[in-house]
Amino acid sequence: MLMQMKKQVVTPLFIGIGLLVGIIFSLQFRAKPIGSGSFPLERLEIQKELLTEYSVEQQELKQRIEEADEKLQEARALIERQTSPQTLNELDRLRAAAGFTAVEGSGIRVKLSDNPGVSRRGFSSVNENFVQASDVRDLVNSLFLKDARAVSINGNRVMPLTSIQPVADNLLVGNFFEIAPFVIEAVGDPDALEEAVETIRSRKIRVFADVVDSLKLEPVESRRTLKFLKLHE
Amino acid sequence: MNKNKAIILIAIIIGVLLALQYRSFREIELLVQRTEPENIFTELRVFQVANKQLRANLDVTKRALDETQSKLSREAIDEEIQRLKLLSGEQTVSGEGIEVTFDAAVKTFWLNDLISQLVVTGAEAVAINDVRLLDRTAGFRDIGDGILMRRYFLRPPFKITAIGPRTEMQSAIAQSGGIVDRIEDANPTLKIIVAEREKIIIPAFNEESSQ
Repeated sequence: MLMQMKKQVVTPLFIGIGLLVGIIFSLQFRAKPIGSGSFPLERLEIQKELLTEYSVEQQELKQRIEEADEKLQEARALIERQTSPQTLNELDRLRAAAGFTAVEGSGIRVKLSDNPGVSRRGFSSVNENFVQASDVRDLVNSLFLKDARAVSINGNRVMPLTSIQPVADNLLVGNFFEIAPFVIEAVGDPDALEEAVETIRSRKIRVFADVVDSLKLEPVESRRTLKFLKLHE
Repeated sequence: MNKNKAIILIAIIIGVLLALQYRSFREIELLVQRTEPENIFTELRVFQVANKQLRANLDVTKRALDETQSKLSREAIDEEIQRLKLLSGEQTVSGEGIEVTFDAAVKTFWLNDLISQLVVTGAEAVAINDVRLLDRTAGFRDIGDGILMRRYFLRPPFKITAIGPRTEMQSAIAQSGGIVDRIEDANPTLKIIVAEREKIIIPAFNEESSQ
């Protein structure tokens, strides 16, 4: 008797829930796509346009800076020829201490790319399957901790005071816009640097690391004006 | 008997799935905590500012070229030496800035996130417990209640000092939803004090004391 009553209540209940779930699925499936004139899409277009505009502007600036730097190096070389060897030694020593010299040697090349299951077009800063600024920042930290003598990201030398920030679905390394995948090179003891890579291996992104016998990381030539820093008296 | 075995097996599978799910939630939770509230226009503004800085770099380079070509060689070299002395860490430096104090240890990635934010806002030199951040001292790892900064073992409280535009740096990190808020959210018992200072002094890097 009790079983019969249970059957009479439970069966219609399950059928009811099934129908409800079916209706919800249908409604979801039939949901209208966002119209082409809607605000979010317009905003997306503006974002894309701005991103393209800034990228193009940056390319031009990079080229002009490189040209001006080249001329400056030539002018300096002329002056340095007339300078005493002691002063030149001092200059070289300080440049090395400040990280403004090229660093060569064996090291490691790490490629960070997104989990194959995701596409950058659907980038989300809260999806751990995409390479995020924090992944790159953590790897650079670990490489320095393992005594990397120099580190670069997509060819740009990074110093401990180089910021690594997210911009749209890519990165701003210092002032330079870099797109995925991110190739990080480091000069130092390859075994130690490989250990540094282990710190991010458990993440959902793809991490490929290769030992490289000979690497040359060019210096960063920071022309940044120092407005606040003074020698302490 | 077989029924019991099946129940135990199902319970184990559910347990494993729940554990995996929990781990996955923890990972995403950490990522959410470390990610600034998503605002693409703020990020684009950072890009715009980066280009502005590159334009300024170009102007500085052109000016340096003009000066190098017109100045006495000794004067140009002396200026370069002065500039490198400020950046090399070999001498004590000072200037206006901010001081951020943590009363206990945090996961060290928070320090990198905070420093990155300070640099974006214009920090020209940064130190932790008076150890200047340079390519010879960079690299953090948390060890117990302390922090390893390359070869320096630092104990709490941790004082991060940055020389740069103090008001801008203070507002950038201490804004609502900013990096300080996010660190505090992730570490509810931690106390962080941010203070503007007219003069921050960062000592010269001493190679011997790191051994």
